[in-house]
Amino acid sequence: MQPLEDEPRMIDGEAMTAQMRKLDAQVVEVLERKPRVVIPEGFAARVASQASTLRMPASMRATRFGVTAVAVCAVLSAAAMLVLAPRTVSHDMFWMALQWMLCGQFCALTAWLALSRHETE
Amino acid sequence: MTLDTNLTTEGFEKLVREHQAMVFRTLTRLTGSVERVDDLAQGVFLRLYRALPGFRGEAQVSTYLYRIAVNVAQEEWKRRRREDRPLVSISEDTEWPFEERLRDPAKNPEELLEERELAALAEEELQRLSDSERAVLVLYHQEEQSYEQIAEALHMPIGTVRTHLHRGRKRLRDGVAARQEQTRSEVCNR
Repeated sequence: MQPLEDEPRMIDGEAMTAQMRKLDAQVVEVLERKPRVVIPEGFAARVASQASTLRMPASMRATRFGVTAVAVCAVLSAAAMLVLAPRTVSHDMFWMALQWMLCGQFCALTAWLALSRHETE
Repeated sequence: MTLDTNLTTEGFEKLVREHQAMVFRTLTRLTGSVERVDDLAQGVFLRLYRALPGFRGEAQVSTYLYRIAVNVAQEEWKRRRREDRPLVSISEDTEWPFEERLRDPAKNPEELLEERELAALAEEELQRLSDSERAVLVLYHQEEQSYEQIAEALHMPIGTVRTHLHRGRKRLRDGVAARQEQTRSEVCNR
């Protein structure tokens, strides 16, 4: 009989009587008995041939495509910020607003990338 | 055994052959029936195949298979509830009679009969437990998985696994005791 790793003498605050302990052991014995199974001849070959005809779901490819697209956009945003940086020296309202917008976009994209990578791990 | 996500058809067939007994056994116990186990097992392996690209290489195949088998068994329960169909329980399986399962030369016929009745009651009561309790009990006792392995397979904290195990065992034992008591009182009333 496989004992519980921290077999308690009490279960839910209730002391087990000798009769209950005997019944518990009998129930565990039943649970530990592995059912006999009949596996059809050639089951593995049949499943493998069915699996080989399956195509990977389209959503899987779309998700990977999406991640790549987001990564490219983040790189482009960073590059645009660098290119536009000299124009913000004069504190011109238009260039400053554009720079802040690109900065916000870059942060949002990198945060999305980091979260999506965390979820797939 | 760890999972190679770039399996060939031959490689996948070998993987199925190595794990088919475990999947059939787990599904039989979790669904409480030998009915449709062949189809369900096939579904388990096809789901594994579909999920291969998303798996991490270091993961244990058995962990994924247990997880998928538990999900497939739960879906089978829902389907049965919807269709309200009676099922052929393991204890009524004529291809695997209890006499054969419990044959022990050291025991007398009376002890064997008692053991047979208890096994049938325990199998029936197991099917009355919640999905989670049943899955934890089967993985721990029948499949000899550790708390950590069960927690990983079922996506549960270890504390929850312990709780389901102790509560499930208690409910199972109490259920069997109540049924035995009921049978005794029925015999006395006759």
